[in-house]
Amino acid sequence: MKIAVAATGENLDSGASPVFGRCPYFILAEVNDEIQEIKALNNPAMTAGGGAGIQAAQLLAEEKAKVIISGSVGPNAFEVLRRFNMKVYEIQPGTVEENLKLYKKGELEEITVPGPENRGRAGMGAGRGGGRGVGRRF
Amino acid sequence: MRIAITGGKGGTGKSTVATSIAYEMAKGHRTLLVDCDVECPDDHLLLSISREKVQDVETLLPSFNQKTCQRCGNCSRVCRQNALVFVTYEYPFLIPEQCNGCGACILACPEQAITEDSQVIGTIYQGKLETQKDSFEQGMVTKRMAKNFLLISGEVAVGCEASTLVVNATRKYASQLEDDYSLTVIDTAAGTHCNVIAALMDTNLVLAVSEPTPLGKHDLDLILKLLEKIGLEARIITNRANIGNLNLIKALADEKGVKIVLEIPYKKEILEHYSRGVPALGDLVSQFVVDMVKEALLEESSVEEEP
Ligand code: SF4
Ligand code: SF4
Repeated sequence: MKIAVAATGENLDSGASPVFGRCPYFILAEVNDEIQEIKALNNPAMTAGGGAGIQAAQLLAEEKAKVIISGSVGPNAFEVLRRFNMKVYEIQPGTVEENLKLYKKGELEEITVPGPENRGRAGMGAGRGGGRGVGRRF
Repeated sequence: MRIAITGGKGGTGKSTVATSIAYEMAKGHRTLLVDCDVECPDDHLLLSISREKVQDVETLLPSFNQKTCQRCGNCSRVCRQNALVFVTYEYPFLIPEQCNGCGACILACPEQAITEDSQVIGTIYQGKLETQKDSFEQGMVTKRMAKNFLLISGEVAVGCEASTLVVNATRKYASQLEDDYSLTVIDTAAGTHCNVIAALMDTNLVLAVSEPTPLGKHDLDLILKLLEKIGLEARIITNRANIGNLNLIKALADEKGVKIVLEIPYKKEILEHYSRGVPALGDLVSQFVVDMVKEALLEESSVEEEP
């Protein structure tokens, strides 16, 4: 089964990334008895204006990943994953490989509800739309 | 004349200033208050106004015909909003909350499989001040004020990305009424995003409300830069002027050559008023408003004198 893990670097030893839409890479791996890295996917959505999560979800659907290991996923991206019957598991601090091992052992928790909306405005605090992150959405 | 009130991150007192100015102005002039903070409009709350809906804001929404769609993915590739999800061999699907109704997908479809539908992305409300007959409190609403004043308030539908379109629609609705009013006060959202710019466009004067803190200064700097870029006349109002370090703002004001026109102190009464739904800044703002209007009228008449 193909699994994608949100990552900060390009291989299995890279750190796990807690953000879904804007992580720099997804590591795609084939996980059966063994864990085998297929490739690192550059996340084109990392710098997207709005809808980064949607774009990332579309990329992973295209790659036919069935399971995603990442941090919380916004409502729109969650809808995309749901449509393609992809499941999300909550990522743990550590490397990509460690997360895949945890997944194999059944020790990762499935995320079944979307996280808070990230409206693509970098650096903005939680709550109402604030004034930071200038220029992103021009 | 149109003035806009803007400010840094939420809570600088932007809406307090906007409602207070409009309220004071309404004592002698026909005043339209336009709440363009469409993601979180609160002017009606500050003035205890119950709003009534005047119209929905609608925008184009693409509608897909799976009978003619060849699953080429063109529509998804041209969508800058990432509102159209396309995966090879699958039909594209739309995330309506993300769509801004630009229509690019319709043009890009080689099979004419997409047609125009519409969706509601927000609502425009209006509201009047209520006269308070039995109230002897300072700042009570007289009949004349109630007649002079109208609030127009735009609100974007929950989860919808298209706040700029709602701001534009709210401005457009308000502009049809403007002939009947001598002053329009526009309350913008915080920050410098597109929806703020839409609210600032075509105004005669922008009042930037700022707190005298390092963060407040940083935000104000961005706002002043933006105003300079658009070519709008700016003035600064500082809020909670007595608890931060006013020199931060003064230095920036000097550097940019922008005047600080009003310093609002932090006072308990202001907070109390605030929680009672009466504009808080009464006396403080009224002199300022008188000065501002005089200045503006002078400017207008000097403009008229030119050939
Ligand atoms: S109308 Fe524009 S924003 Fe909406 S789906 Fe089509 S291309 Fe995307
Ligand atoms: S561009 Fe038209 S034909 Fe191509 S996928 Fe989109 S709707 Fe279908």
